[in-house]
Amino acid sequence: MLGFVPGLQHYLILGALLFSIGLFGALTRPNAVVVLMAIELMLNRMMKTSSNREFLNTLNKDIL
Amino acid sequence: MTFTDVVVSLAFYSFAILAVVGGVGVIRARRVVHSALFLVVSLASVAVLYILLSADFLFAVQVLIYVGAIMILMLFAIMLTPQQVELPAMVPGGQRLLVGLLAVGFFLVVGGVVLSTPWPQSTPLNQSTLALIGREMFTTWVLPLQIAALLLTAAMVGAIVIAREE
Repeated sequence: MLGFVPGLQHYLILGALLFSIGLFGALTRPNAVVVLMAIELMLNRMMKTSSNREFLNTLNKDIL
Repeated sequence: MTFTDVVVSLAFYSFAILAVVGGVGVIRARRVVHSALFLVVSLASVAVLYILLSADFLFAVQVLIYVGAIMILMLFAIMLTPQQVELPAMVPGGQRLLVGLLAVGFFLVVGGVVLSTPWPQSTPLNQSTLALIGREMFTTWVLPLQIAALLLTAAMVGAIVIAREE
């Protein structure tokens, strides 16, 4: 389970949380500019998640 | 728990909270300019989190491109265009509920997967990532790099053609 000291899982969960916020924003605001900003938020989290070296290693080893 | 652990935890939790608050602010702010400013807060907090991940190159990119270039461009675009169209702040309640359930479900599924996956332990890389990224980019990923370069050139030519009056 999650410890107090931040590890890989903490970063991934933070990324998922911010992605969800961006998803909610992109689908609920009628203003196109805000939708663009929410998409920006989501893309940024994808970059953040994929920047984790351990995450990439696992992906390479287990899936690809 | 060592002193470093305490400092790292403190920095992580404070900037993680700041990033989430900024993200919520983006979708809750009534005015578009306020949304943009909240987005700056969120993106800058994520930049600090990159330092904690010892990703120095990504930190520089995040500050230069996101906080520097993209947000300045967005603020210019918002402030220089007339805002006479009055839109409702949110879509109707039914759709909002549906989307909220979707977002919460997405978060729960991803969070569950993250928690139940046995992640390997890794040792921190005590060197700059800049040289590693550069080498990878010009050997393994040289074709995607060139395709991206072509795409950006095409976009720039298109922007010039559209912007030129005549």
